Amino acid sequence: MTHFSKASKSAGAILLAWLACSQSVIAQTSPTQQEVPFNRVDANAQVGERGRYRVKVTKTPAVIPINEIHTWTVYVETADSRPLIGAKIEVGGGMPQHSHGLPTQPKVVLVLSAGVYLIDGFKFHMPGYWEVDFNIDAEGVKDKVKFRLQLQ
Amino acid sequence: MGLIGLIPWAEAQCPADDIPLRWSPDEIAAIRSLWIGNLPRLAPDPSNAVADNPRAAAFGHRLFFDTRLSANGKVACATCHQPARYFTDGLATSLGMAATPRNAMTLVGTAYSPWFFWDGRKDSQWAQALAPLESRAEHGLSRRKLATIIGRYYRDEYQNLFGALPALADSKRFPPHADALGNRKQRAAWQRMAEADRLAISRIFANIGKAIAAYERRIMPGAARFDAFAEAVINGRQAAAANALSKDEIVGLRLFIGPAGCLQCHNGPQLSNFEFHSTAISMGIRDIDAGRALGIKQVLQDEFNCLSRHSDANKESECAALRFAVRDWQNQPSAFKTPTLRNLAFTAPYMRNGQFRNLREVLAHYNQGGTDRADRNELQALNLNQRELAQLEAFLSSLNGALDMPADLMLPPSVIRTNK
Repeated sequence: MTHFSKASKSAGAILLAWLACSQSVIAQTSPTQQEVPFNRVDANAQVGERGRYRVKVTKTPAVIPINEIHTWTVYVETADSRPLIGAKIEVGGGMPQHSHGLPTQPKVVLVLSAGVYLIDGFKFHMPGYWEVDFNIDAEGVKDKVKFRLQLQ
Repeated sequence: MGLIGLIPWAEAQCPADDIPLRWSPDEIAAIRSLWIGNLPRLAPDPSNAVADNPRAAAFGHRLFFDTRLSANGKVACATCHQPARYFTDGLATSLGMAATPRNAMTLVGTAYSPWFFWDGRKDSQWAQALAPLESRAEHGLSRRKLATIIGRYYRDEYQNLFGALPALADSKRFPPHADALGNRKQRAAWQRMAEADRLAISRIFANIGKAIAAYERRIMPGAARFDAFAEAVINGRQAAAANALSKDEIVGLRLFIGPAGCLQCHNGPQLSNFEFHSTAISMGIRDIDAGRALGIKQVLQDEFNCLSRHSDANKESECAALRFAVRDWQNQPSAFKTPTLRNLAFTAPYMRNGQFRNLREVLAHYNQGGTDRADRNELQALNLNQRELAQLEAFLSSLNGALDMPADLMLPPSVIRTNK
């Protein structure tokens, strides 16, 4: 529905310019966000917080849209680089700075091949900093893999 | 803080004194995202097979203005959704047959929304249109009585679109007083009806909603002064941009897309994400409203939702909003749908309970970050000064424009044909 250009770091500069002009500014960025790519998902595999699983997001829309339901394809593998078959994946996350979760509950709708899962129902309804958590459970072995997104 | 050196153009921007007409690529992207020219072509509503049928729209137009569709003969859809008020009613909370607890939302542009009512307890325009017809505080009808009214006044229009009406005159099969929401006797009469006959009545009811929705899909926002400005900015025509908006409006726009953070929820060409947020609108313990926490339960159970037998959608591949809806809202009470910010001059008072009479009151609420309540509140105080608040309000006034719909559809149908 909406089209946002690939952004740069100048949003922060606009804020700072405003700081120079006015006392009335709300802070909307945090240091961690500046490492996060804008409007796309990090192409690198992310390791779970317990080191059990790795997730690589292999396909998304070229620009993550705002206010449109869309799919992600993810590849999940074990610590020793074998595709994780039969994983139960629950998607969580949200905007920690706004204390709310995702506006939708994405779900695995199809297993495309060994370790490759099609997840439908992603939607981001606000620009800003988002986290997407894949809570993975395979035969009782659990891990949580986090991706960070900056949308504009 | 060293970032400021990276962007030389940003250093000298102190808009209170001088209005810079240069816009950064990010600002232009934000302006473009709000531009009405960015409104995509309206997608089909797969749950409503007649959504884009002109005959259904003409039928729906007549139904929309017809007060015979009420228990006292005085209430039509247009009672609370008046075209001259951009399909609102000017009241804090609406009045049908009796008082209702909520403010009437505009219908303008709602064909783009996945959710309806302040709490999103409906998931399509046609399902939304049904609820007031059966509400005792609004039209006060039963679906059984509505079927008789359709058979009496709109038999041809109905049957041309939806096929033959059942033998409603058979009062044994279709007791006129049968009403699932009525008193004990009326409920018993409804329960005694054969299941297939109850379904036939409910199907007529659903079809009436679909015809009304075919009309409502035509109610669209038109271009406002902001859109002329946005088009000029996008095309690099600085002089035209400077003429389209006043200095205060331009400064208000910069606040809107920048530090005031309005764009977080009021994004896209209708300046709404059509999702649910807690903004501390409940006032006092006598005004607790569960909002989305209750609305999600209702829409999931709704007998007319996108996944229901009355929906024309493919239940496997469509109805994404409902299939992927977040179901647990218990930790976020009093969340309500973000309203559009277009045409606010015509849709006061504001908020789900109409508690703010004007935009100054609305902006004061946001500026202080809402009232201090135990409710989850997403707002943070903005601490803007009075001049900045006035500039934000000035920007909002640039979003008023004419409706984009055929003029004859804004008027009541001149001739109401009767079939007796």
